Amino acid sequence: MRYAWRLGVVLLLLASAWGVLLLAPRADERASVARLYGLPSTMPGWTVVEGAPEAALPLDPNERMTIRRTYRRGERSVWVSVALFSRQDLAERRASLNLLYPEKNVTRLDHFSFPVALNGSPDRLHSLPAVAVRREDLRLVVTYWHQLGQSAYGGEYQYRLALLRSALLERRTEMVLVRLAASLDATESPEPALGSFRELAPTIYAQVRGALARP
Amino acid sequence: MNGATLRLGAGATWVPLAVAAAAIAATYAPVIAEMADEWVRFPNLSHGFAIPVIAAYLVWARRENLLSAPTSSVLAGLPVLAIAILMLLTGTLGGEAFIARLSLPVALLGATLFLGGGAVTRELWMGIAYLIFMIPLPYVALKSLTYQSRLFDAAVTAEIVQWLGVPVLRDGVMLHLANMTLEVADECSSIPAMAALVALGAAYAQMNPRPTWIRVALVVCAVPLGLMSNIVRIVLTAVSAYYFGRIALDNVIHKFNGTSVFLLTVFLLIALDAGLLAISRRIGRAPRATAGREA
Repeated sequence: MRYAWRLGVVLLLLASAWGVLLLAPRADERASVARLYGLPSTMPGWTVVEGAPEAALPLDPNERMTIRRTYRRGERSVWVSVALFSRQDLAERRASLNLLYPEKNVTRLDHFSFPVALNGSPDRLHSLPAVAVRREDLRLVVTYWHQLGQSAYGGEYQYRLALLRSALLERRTEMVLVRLAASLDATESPEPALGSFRELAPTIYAQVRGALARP
Repeated sequence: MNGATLRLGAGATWVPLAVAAAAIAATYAPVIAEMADEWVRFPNLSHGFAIPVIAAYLVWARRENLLSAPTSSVLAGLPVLAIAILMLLTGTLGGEAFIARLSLPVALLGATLFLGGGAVTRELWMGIAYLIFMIPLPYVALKSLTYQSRLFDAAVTAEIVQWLGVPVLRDGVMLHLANMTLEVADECSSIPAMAALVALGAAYAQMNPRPTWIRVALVVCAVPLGLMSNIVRIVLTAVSAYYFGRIALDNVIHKFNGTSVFLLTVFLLIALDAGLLAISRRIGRAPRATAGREA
């Protein structure tokens, strides 16, 4: 008898877990595809062309929609991909970590981070991850951030934590992945590319925020 | 076994534990099914199928002690179980499978403490803890480690290969030989198999009576031995590619890289175990005949 109530408590706890899992509302599927299509296609000081090479920014089959553009000014080209991913709580629909930047047959990948004033204020810098990719036929730098609603996350762990919070509290699991890529120059220094990223990233961030915030 | 029959018949105190274990298994069925799917899809996680069997063996090996252990209840087991359920809910609803999976052994531990008490938990904890090895590590952590391991493997391999008289130019993870270029690819890294190697070390350490310090050393050394085995395999591949050409990449050692690293690690573990036992005997700390339960 003295074991019966203890077993009852254990079974009650497990049954409660079942109940919560069964009754919890499904994660939000109302991803803002139409809003992102409205992303402005002009950028002051840059010529914008639709499309970006897959060799620089790999396509992910889990992308619900994507806008790929090439921003050009003089000799400098920056390739941009803004991709929407929904139901990031499902493992099979998650953005693939292996498709953020080219990885196949790559000789060397140098990971680093650099500060960017995404919201335009030098007082509040975001640290964005960047990767210098070196392959026989390819030398480029790629940077990216994950945008959950109005917030941007560079680090994968920060992003996962924010996604967990968003999934639990708001049942929202869509995410916009913004990637920028540019060629390394002849000296193989990433600085010129990072300079272009610093210039373009705040505008793209504001555009994506605006698109996501529109009612 | 007579003792076991008597005990079960006398108190039926194991029934609550058995019912709780079955209820936990039912609650975690979707989590377990999803994990098993990953074991099937990714060859370097396929050791996951063996882990519950080994865990069951670890419990079975202690059945005499287990059945004679007095059952009681430790109230601290209840918050442990509650934490496990919270982890299950957080992981499942938040889309972080690792948290949900990790909560399974925690739930088993909590239920054992609460329904079986301290003495029963002392006999069961090792089998429960062993289940941790079936949980795939989060891919985010694994990915960056894997690349660092590839760079390390390529650098060490280049040094050894040159020392063996084979000219090689290393560029990142590429090894440029005179006749071909080899890439130390993701599949060549032993990092994804790290959990399997530690599980192997832990299981091997439990197989025979030996002092605890040797058991700990075997578990701790499983990963470096695995890394060493992998470098030996890459060196063999590079040297044979230099002398025999492409055919070297189609051989058994290269094709079945997981299996060859696993077998070489077992061999190195046996050699390390023999060495440590010899040292232990020499310094007069050899296991006594009754030390079979030492852990």
